[in-house]
Amino acid sequence: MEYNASFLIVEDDKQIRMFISSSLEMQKYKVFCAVTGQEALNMFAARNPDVIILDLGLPDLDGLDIIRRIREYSQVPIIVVSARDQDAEKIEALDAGADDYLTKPFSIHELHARLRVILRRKETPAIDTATSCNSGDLVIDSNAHLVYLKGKEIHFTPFEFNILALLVKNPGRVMTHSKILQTVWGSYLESDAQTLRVFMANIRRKLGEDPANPKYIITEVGIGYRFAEE
Amino acid sequence: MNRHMITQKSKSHLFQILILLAILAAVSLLAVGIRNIGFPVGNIVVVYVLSILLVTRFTHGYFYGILASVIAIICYNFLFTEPYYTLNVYRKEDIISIAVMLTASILTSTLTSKLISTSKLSADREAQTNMLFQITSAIAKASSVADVAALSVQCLSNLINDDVACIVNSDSNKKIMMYSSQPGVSHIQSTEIDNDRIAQLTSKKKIVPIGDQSKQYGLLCLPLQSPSEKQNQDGLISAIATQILIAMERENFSEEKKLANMETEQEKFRSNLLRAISHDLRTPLTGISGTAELLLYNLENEEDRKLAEGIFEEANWLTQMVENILSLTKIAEGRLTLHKQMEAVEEIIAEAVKHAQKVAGGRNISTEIPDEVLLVPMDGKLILQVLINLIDNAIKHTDQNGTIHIQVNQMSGRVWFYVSDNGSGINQNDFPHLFEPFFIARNANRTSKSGAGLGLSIVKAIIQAHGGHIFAENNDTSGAVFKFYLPLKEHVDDGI
Repeated sequence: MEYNASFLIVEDDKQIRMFISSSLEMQKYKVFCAVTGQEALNMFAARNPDVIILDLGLPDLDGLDIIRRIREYSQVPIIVVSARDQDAEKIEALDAGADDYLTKPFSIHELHARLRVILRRKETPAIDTATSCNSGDLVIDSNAHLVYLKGKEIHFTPFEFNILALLVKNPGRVMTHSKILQTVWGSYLESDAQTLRVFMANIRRKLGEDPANPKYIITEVGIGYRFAEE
Repeated sequence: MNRHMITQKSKSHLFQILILLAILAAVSLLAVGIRNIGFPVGNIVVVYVLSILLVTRFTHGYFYGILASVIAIICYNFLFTEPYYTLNVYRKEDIISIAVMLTASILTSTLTSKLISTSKLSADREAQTNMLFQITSAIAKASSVADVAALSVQCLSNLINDDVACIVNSDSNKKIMMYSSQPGVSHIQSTEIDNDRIAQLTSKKKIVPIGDQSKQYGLLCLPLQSPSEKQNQDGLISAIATQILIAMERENFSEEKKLANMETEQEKFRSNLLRAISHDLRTPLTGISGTAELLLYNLENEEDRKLAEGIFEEANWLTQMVENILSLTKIAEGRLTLHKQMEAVEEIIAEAVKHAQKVAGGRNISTEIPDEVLLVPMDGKLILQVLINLIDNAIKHTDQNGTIHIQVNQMSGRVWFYVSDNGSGINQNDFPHLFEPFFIARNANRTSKSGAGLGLSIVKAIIQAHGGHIFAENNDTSGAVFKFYLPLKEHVDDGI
């Protein structure tokens, strides 16, 4: 991982805060901790961390409010942490601007893997719509609306292309069903989710994916999709 | 009862005829006196007309008035027209006076009797209105269906001065309550009664049902009335029954509302409690497993690492247990709500495989799914949990280099999922109990931590909630197959 990156951990449980911070400090990262939402907002303003790890169940402020308030002036990557049966909150957090989510209990390996993805994304300059992007064998030219797999051009319909481009432009980031549909369709209806699944199946087949073991597009059941980085 | 009434009636006829005869006799005596004094005969006619008036006043009905008129004419003719003491008439003016007297008498008697009956009718109507008003205002204050019954029985009993009973269907435990009241004593009994007692109460009574097409609240048992009363009272009783029904419906509605409110409160409390418990258990478990994992990767000493690994595994097992118990609680309480959408089967399988690969060790996991995308109405999260539970189960019953095969196919409106392994298979004796909660197979792999036997019962509940079914069997060679189907076509709440 990149040296010198700094993290803000917002978590009211002492033990969880401790093991996350220890695991990160062991890797020589700078770590700041906040116990309450208010403290998190103050700490963020004062320390300007590279990534925020945010527990959604805080005693004082709603986690969603914290995301919205930070998003008013900053695009700092935010990973939210929540319980398994809080899917609705996860989706809301992602739609409010969170980059990724972890479900309690999570493994340190998982957390570090997600953080690595985020830091790498931060390192590489934001992908401009005009430029093309590479992801292993996959090359997408946003300008020309062309997709190349292993140097070979593959035909995509405009909708399929837009969905794929949206995911590729946000590698590693979970895009909720509603976010994808709103970006590509301009609207979101529950019934469109079915159409989205069919599009996704077509995209995967065109990319030559094994549907039971996809390499590029990972499904987050009940939440959305993410583009796998490696 | 009937015989008694009939004798009473004939007695009253006799009595009225006696009154009639007495009045006419008295008037005839008076008339004889008047004649002896030497007053004109015209006065005697007036006196007889007066007598008809009196007879009508003290008897009931047209009959006595007309009878009195006829007798009066006979008396007049017999006593005061020439030839005296015969029923013959010689003089023209006598014929006229008799005719006038007869007309006057009949007119007087019919008019008076009509007047009397009208005034009686309006008095009856007033009494009925009053009765209805009293009952309506009494039951307006009632606070429950039983209360309505008690108050109306009390009121009715006081008004008709007789026994009244009301049998109320109580829905809580289908027991029936009875309210009876004796006149004057105002004595109300409220007891549970059986069918024999109901039969006893309803026999030889006027039964008025209280209820409408949708719901029967009970029966009102009133004393039988005489046929003459019947006409008048039927309308009143049906009006009263309607009032009682309205009051009972009102109370029933408010009771139902109260109950619904209470249930909502309890539901809220329970789900808050579950939420709190799950949060309070998950948070420390996350701390324990995370800390143990951290130690596991950082401790130098092999002994210490083993200890940390132990904590890590136990914490994970406990977490799984908490999740399972929470799921089972939801299912047991009927709170398993499905968020059905058209999900692509391949996506769910891919997620399940991703999970399996993390925990499979050296086991080989293979899949076989249809080439075309298969959309099935389901709650994706829950079916994912089903597959994960079945795969975990297969891992538990296979050794390190075992194989697990996941297959999906479509057959006559159903989508079949198969999770098969080449492990130890299912013991014949275990088949009937496989899907029971807390059942643990005899041959579960002892080296791995066994569960509390909740996994398969949760799996079954989730599949059944989807309208599907799960089966377990042994392979031809070795190992077990768990297969389940989900209906392909079903109403999906997709807003279309």
